[in-house]
Amino acid sequence: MKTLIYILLISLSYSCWAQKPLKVGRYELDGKTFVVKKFNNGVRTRLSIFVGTEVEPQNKSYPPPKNKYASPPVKRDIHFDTALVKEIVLKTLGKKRARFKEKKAFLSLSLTFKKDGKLEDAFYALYNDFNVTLEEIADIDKKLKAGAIKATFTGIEYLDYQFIHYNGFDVFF
Amino acid sequence: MKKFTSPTIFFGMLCLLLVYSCKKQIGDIFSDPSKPEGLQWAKEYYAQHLQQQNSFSVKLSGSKGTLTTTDLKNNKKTPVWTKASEGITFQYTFAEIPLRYAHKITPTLALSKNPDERPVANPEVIDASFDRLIIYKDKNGKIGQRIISYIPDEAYLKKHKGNISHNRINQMDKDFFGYVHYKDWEGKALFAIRVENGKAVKRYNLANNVKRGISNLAQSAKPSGSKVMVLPVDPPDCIYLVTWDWYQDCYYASEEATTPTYCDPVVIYNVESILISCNEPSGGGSGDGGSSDPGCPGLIMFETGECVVEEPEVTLDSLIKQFCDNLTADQKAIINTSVTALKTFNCATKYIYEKFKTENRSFKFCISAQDGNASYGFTKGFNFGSDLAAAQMNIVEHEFYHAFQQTVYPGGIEQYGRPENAPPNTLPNAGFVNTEFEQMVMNDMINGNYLAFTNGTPSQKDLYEDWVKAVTNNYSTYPKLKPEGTPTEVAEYNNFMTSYNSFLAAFNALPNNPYHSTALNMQPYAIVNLFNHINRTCP
Repeated sequence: MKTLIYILLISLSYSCWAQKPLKVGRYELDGKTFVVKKFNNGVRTRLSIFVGTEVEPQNKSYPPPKNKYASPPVKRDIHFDTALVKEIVLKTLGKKRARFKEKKAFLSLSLTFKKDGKLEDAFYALYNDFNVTLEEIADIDKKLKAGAIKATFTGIEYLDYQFIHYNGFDVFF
Repeated sequence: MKKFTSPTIFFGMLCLLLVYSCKKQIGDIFSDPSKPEGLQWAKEYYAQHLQQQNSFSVKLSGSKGTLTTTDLKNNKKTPVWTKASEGITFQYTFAEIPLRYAHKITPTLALSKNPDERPVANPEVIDASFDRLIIYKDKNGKIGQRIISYIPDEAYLKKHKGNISHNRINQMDKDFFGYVHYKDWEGKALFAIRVENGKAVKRYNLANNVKRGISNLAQSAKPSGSKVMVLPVDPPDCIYLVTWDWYQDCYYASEEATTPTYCDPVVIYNVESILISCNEPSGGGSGDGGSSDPGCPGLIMFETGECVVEEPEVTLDSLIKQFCDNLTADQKAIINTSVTALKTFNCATKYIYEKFKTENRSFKFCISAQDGNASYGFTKGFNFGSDLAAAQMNIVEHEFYHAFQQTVYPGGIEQYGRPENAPPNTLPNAGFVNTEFEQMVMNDMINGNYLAFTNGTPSQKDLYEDWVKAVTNNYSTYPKLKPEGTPTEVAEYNNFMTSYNSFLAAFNALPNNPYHSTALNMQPYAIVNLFNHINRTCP
C-alpha cells in the first residue's frame, strides 16, 4: 500500500512538472523550436511564443514583394475560418477558460499564409495571464496547421506577395 | 424734279466709296466671331493633310451626252469655310464644312434584288443632295476626316420644298428620311447610314463594294422624275444595296455660294453594289419611311458608322476636379464611387473627406500603369495603377492620407516624395520614410492592420502590434497628442514619440526598403492633427 502511494505521488509530481507554465526560453518539441519571450510595454506584460523549424523563428525573413512599392494586404482582404481558429484555441485551453476569463487574458495569433492559402506560420502572444504550457501551445499549433485552416484573398495587394500576414487575431476567453 | 448738282453727285460717290471700302470691316462686325478662331484646329488640319491632296480625277469613260468616253477631269474640292459650323458631341468636337466640287458627284442608294438594276434618278433629289467635309477631333485629340453626302428621300424633300441644306450631322430634322453616305477625302466609299425620323436606323458597310460595269447601263440611264429610288423587295431573294454615282456640272453665283444656281443634267458615272442579305427581309431602308426600328439612341461614329450611346451622366463628387483625358466612362464611375465612399469608410476618411469639402479642395484623378498600386502628388493628383486599384478602398484610403499630409505639413509633402519624383534642388530621398511610415501607422491604428512591419520579422511585428494596441487601448481610442500642451501633455507626446521614432528607425532599416531615407524623426503632423479630431465613433 505504501509503495502504491509513493508511485502515485511520484506520478502526480511528474505530471505537474510536465504541465508547468511556460517560461522565457527556448524549447524543442516534435522537431519544432519554440522561442518564448516576455515583454513589458510599461502598461502590461505579454508572453510571446515564436514557433518554427528555424533556429530563430522570431527572426524569420520572408521574400520581399514583387513590386517594391507594393501595398501590403489588409486584414479585410484575408479570409479564413475564424470560428474554427477560435474553436481550436478554446477547446485546447478549455480547462483554463474560466481563469483566463476572470483575468481578462487573451491569446493573440499572428498567422502567415502562403499565396495558395495554406497556413505557413503561426505565432502567439498571451496577454494578462501566462498559465499556458508548451504542450498546449504545441497542440494548438499542430491543429491549426493540420490543413483545415486555409485562407482566400480578395483585393489586388496579395498578388505582389508570396506570404500574406494576418497579425493580431485575438481570441478572448 | 430736283436737279442734282456736281457737288451732290461727288458727295454721293464719296459715300459709296466709303461704304465700299468699309465693307469688309462692317462684315466683320456682324459675322460670328467664334467661327474662324473656333475652327482654327480644323483649318490647320485641312492645310496640313488635305489641301495638298486636292486633285482627284473624274474618269468619265462610258458616259454619254456631251461628254466623250475618255474624259479625265480634275475634280478639285473646295471647302467653304465661311459657311462652316462647329459641333460638339460626347465623342467629338467637329467642323462641318460645305464642300464644292469642280464637278458634282452625287451618290444615290437603293435596295434591290438585282445588283445591276438599271439606274434611275430623281433630278430634284440629286440637285438637293450635297456634300460636307467633316473634320473631327475625338476625346484623345486624334483628328480625322470624312466627306458626308446628305441624300433625301423624295417625300421628305418635297415636304421641305426642295431644300434640306439646314440639316447638320448632329442636328437633323426630326422628319428626315434618306441616307447619309460617308466616304474619305480620297473618295473611297466607307459606309452609308439609313436615316428615318432623323435617326440612324441602319448602317451599310460599303468598304467591300463591288464595282459594276456601266457601259451597258449608261445607254439606258436616264433621269426620271417619277420613279421611287428604293424598290420593294420580297424574301427569300438576296438583297443588294446599290449605289449609283451621278455626275453633273454645276454653276454657282459666287465663290462662297454653297447651293448651285444651275446644274447640267446628270450622267451616270459609277455603279457599285454590296450584298446585304439573303433569304431574309432587309430590315431597313424602305425609302418612304415606316420602319419600326427605334434608331440609334446615341451617336454615329465618324470613323466606323457604328452607333455609340453616351453613358448616363454621373453626378461627380465635389472632390473630383478633373479626370485624365484618356479615362473611360466606366473608369470615371469607379473613381467617383470610391471617392464618395470615403464619407462612410471609417471615421478618419470621413473627417478628411469633409475637411477637403469644407476647404473646397478638389483633385485630378488618373488611371495609368505605374510602380505600386497608386500614388499621390500635390501637382499631379491621384493616379491608380489599374481599374482594380481605383476600386480598392484601402488603396484610395492610403492615398488620401497622403493628401491629408499635404495639407498639414509645413510646405507640403512633395519635398519628401519618391526619390524619382523629387523636385529640382532637393535631396532625392529627404524624409520619404517619415511620410510613408506615418501613413502606415495611421492606417494601422485606425484599421488594426500592422502594415508597417509587413516586411519585418515576426519579432518586429510582435513588438509593433503590442505598441499599436497599447497606444490605442486595444483600438478603443486614438492617442491625443499635444506637442505644445501642458507639461503633462508634452511628456505624453514625448513618450509617444520615443516609441514612434524607435519603430520609424526599425522600419527605415528594413532590408530593401524602397522608402528608406536619410532624414528621420520628423514630427508626425498628420497623426497629431487627425487623431486630435476623430474618435472611434463618427459624429
